Amino acid sequence: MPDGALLRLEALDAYYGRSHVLQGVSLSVESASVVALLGRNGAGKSTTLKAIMGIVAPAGGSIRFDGEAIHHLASHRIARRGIAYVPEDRGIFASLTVEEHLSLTLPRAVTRGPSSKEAIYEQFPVLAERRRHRGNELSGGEQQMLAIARALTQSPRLLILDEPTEGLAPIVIESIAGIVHSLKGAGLTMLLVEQNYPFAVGLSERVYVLGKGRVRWEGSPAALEASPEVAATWLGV
Amino acid sequence: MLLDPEFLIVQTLNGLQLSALLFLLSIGLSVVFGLINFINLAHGTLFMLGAYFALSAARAFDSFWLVLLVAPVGVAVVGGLLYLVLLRHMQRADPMKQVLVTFGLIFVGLESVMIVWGPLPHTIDVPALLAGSSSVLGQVYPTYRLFIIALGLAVFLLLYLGLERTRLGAIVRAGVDNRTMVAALGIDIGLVFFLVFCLGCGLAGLAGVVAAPVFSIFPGMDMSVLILALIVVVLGGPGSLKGAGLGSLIIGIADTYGQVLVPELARVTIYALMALILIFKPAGLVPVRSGH
Repeated sequence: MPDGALLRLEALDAYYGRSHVLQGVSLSVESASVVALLGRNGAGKSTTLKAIMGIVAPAGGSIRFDGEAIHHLASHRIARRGIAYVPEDRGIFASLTVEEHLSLTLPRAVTRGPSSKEAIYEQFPVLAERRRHRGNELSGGEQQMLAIARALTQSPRLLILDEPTEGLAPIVIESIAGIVHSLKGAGLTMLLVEQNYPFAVGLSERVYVLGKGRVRWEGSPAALEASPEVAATWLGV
Repeated sequence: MLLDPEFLIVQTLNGLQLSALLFLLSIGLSVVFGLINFINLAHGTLFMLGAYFALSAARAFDSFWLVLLVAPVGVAVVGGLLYLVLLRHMQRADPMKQVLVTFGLIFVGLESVMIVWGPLPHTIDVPALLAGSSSVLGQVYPTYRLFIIALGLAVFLLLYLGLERTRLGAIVRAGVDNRTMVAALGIDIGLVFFLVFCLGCGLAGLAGVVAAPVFSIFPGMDMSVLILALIVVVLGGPGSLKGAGLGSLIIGIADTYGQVLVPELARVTIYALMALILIFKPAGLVPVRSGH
């Protein structure tokens, strides 16, 4: 892999209590590319993302963003480097309105350009309609859009998405997919964990397959399609 | 006795006055507990410290209003130092250790005020402007106690506006809900928490300052209110401003009437009430957290 990857994980180790959930995970994300992490439940996908965000402290290995080590930094410092995170549970605040969600990062957020609140409302008309509604009044799809929109207010250089289509109706998945595809079109670098195999494969340039805390396979989506035994062993597809 | 309007007006006002003090004391405790699940038993000590700071400040300055400003700020500074030196390192400790350390601080506080101000009780005067009585619904009542009620209400409204209408308030509410996510947005929730902690300490100090002219100032004056404040937090739901307000109202009124109507049972009425409410609302009257 050429140097100059935006994000590079090397031999990352992490534990949950005594269970060794990440066992030397190495992967890299090139600028302006989309990378998908696939694998069964418990393979270590979400933990990898949490380790990048500083939510789970790595026990060993390194994480570099734009060439600089970030694995020792506090979560908010990692985010300020330009990494935005949409967690699996979406992390929507029940008592905050849509507007408040999009204003939380305001001093650092831009007032013009694609990350401004107005531009975001244009991109997410559903959220504009529901500006005054609180997080707990939104549907699952609206919450997911809000989580992505909130991440965009940070003007991220890397967007990390943990199962953005999980638990959503097919029609909502379509609109989420539309948004993610347009972000990709705009050149945003993304790292994606996804159980929705066709969605992930259709979106990404590179796929890592995790199994029991290790990278079991890596390659292009086309190569994965051509290797049914990988999918059968590690994805159960 | 219960149907006597004089009795009702006076006792209700007494109850509201206690509610106002309890609110000032419990709001810091509640928000801190809501933000990081931290039980600061020394919060009552800050209340006592507020009263003693008021005592010294009243000797230094002539103006009660200056005392009202300076003493709580002093308490906030003490709280901030306590946090930076000791409590910050206890955040991830298990609750039993937090309880032991902050329980120990109660005794440190007790000894400290005895060393500095002596073991004997002190009093300070009600400010001239608020001395005397006012008429409430035809009933004569001390003006200063009405001031305490008004102050409690004013602080509640200010905090409400601050929490609901400002970005910092939104961050605090978000932090009570899901601290990890706030940090992942690039917000230094630790710093926000520190500011909230200091504000909470300052408000506990403010409660001590305004209580000083009504009650006598003595080592250990914090113990009975600390217990009531803890009950308020549990009852209202940790981390909730409305919960702390509602809890203070209920406990202030119930404690006042309980002590007058069934003095033999004194505080038992409060515990019975708390148990009863928690049976039906185990997360408190105004639960706020959706998950961590």
